[in-house]
Amino acid sequence: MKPRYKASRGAYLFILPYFVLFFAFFLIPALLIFPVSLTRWNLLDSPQFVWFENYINLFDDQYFWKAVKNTFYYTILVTILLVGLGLFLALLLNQKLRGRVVGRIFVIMPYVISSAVAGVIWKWMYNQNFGIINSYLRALGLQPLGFLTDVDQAMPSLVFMNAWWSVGFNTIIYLAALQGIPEELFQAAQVDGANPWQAFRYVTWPLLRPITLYVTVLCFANSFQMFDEAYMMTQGGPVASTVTLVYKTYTTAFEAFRFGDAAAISVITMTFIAMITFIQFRMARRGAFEQ
Amino acid sequence: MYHKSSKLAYLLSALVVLALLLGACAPAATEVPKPAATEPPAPAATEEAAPAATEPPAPAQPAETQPAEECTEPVGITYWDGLGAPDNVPMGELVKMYNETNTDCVQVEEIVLDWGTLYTKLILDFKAGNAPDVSTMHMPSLLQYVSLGILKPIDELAAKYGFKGEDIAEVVWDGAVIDGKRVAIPLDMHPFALYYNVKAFEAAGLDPDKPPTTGEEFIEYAKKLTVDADGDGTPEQYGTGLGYSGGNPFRVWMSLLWQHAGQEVLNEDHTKAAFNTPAGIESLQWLYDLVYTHKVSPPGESDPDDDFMKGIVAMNITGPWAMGDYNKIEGLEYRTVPFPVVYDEMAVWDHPHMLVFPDSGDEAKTEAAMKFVRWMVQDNNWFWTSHSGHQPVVKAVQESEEFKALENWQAFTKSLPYSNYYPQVVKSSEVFGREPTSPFVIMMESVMLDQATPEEAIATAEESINEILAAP
Repeated sequence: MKPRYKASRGAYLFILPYFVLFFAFFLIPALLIFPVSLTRWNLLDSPQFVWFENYINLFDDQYFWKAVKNTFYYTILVTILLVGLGLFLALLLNQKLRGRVVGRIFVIMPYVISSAVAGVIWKWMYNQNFGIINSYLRALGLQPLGFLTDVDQAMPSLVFMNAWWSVGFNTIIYLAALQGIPEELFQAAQVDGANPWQAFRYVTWPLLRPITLYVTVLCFANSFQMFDEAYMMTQGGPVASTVTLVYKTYTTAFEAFRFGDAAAISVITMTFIAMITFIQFRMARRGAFEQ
Repeated sequence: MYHKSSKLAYLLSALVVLALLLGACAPAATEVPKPAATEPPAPAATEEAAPAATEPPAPAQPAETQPAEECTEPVGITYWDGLGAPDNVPMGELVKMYNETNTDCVQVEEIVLDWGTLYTKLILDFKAGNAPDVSTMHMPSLLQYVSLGILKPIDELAAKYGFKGEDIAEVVWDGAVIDGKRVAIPLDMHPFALYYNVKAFEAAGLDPDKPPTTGEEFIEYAKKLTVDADGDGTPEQYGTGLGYSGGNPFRVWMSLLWQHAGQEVLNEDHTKAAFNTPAGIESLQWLYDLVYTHKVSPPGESDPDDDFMKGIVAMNITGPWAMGDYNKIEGLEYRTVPFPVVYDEMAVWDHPHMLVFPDSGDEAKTEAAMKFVRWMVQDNNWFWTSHSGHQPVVKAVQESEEFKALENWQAFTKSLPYSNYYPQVVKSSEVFGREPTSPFVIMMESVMLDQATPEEAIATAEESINEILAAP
């Protein structure tokens, strides 16, 4: 055992800087939210222990339920769009077409900018008066759309922006998986007389299943924590239609200075993510057995 | 075969690492810069804006100017300025002027923040021991920051540096006292007034010398100013701007509420909402009707200031800070008139700027900050007024001929006796916030975007505000 430990000592050293930061800024604060969620604390005075009062109050808070609803709406739309579009683009870019390298670069390119920058870009593109999208709509003789100012359009507009920004990530994962599917399987299918749809349905799709589960879990967990888009583009409006759970956590903590309530929302958000991830992992395991 | 799948495994694991590092497809909550300041575009009355802007009218007796001592090491102080786009420009000029000319041996570092960030950061930085030595703040927010223990009483320092009640407008001089202790020095006042486009008035056959003064007149004028020349059902010019989000729409509503005799926003001891009344609903309905019944204001209007500058709306209700932006528009000829009297009596929203002294624990710096504030308020209130559009607080400036010659300032001056302020509450930033998640903003958005009736929207806001006020 001993030499083995020795051999890996260098490796621990390499990951140490990350772990220090991970502990200081992620794990410890994440664990601290449990005790904080049981207190009333405005940051300046000492926290007061209030048991589960913050949780009970949340159940009466109409905007908490609105945030839950908005978060699920956003997450489901983003996940469907990103997984579907990611697969579609990967299939397209996997074809032996001219310019596919350029296509791959274009698909992943938006992902290298930060989501905050993407938010600013799209905020201008969506702008009702000066936005480029509305300027084209007007040029076509159509009515401009209130992308971020319309209660029904605001959330889908954020979803669309997110799809543009991050679909490249899923595309690359799918592309890697597609390239790992042995060519012989397709040749065998062809020999059996399968058309392209049948080849996809019975060869590609089943083999991509673990990857699909993986990107779905990832997309779900990440979009459930959506904050940047709402913060940069709508600040939760209009009529609270883009307030998500994480955005509400932020306003509760840093606008209302109710850190106890904010911690309670975080705990609930975390619980939702843990539950859904657990279900998805169970599904993933079942999927793996089937193969 | 083996080779291929190990390559795939390698690629996949690399991607997993990448995923963990980058936070995958949806952006994780990373550190993001605060969006641009949301305070209504404040005014930077530029040259053409401010007539004779630099000639100070007999400054209010400058406090004893101290003999220029040998200044070897100036006291460095930090000044947080929450003023938004146009009016932070003259503020920056003032700070620069002070740093270059002062004989107080003080150097000011100005940090420009938007209001929302300033109010949040003040609490966080105070906790971290980094509070600024002096900061801007609105009068109705004082109680909140006093109750948090952030603001220092400054009675003695103010007296030492020559501040006297008889020199300063009473309402703000007295408004800067919380629980019998002075915690701020007033900087300016800025009630709402009505701006109107002179050329649009003339084109509609309206006399620019007779702007609307009542609710009926306002609607009548707005109808005449709404022009749909090509008859496509969408006017090219609307009578008035109003907007649907942010601070201004609910402040206009609140002005209408206050125009009902005896009507207040909160009950007497500020423990409960008092606006869900026929007066509150009627005022909200009046604004709804401008957009959806009379169709004289654009639905879902996101930027009334911009629309006024572009001629899309012919009138707009806002504060004096807007002059700074309006004056930059070539060919835009506008005038101001007090907010129309729609109900029983004249009343209008006002939100005076104050200068506060957070408890930084350093007496010398607080005193240096007071020297700077004395210079800015006592000696340079004229500069600030004439360049920012705001109303002066120093009586000598208010009464000076130079100030009376600033035509577009006078509608605001006439409104001052009718100014109303948010009631002081400990939860001020939550109750009167202008973020899209604040109760009054949601109320206005619901009505102005036709998502709820005035009755429903006002009941929702009442419930939210009662919850906020009841929370310990």
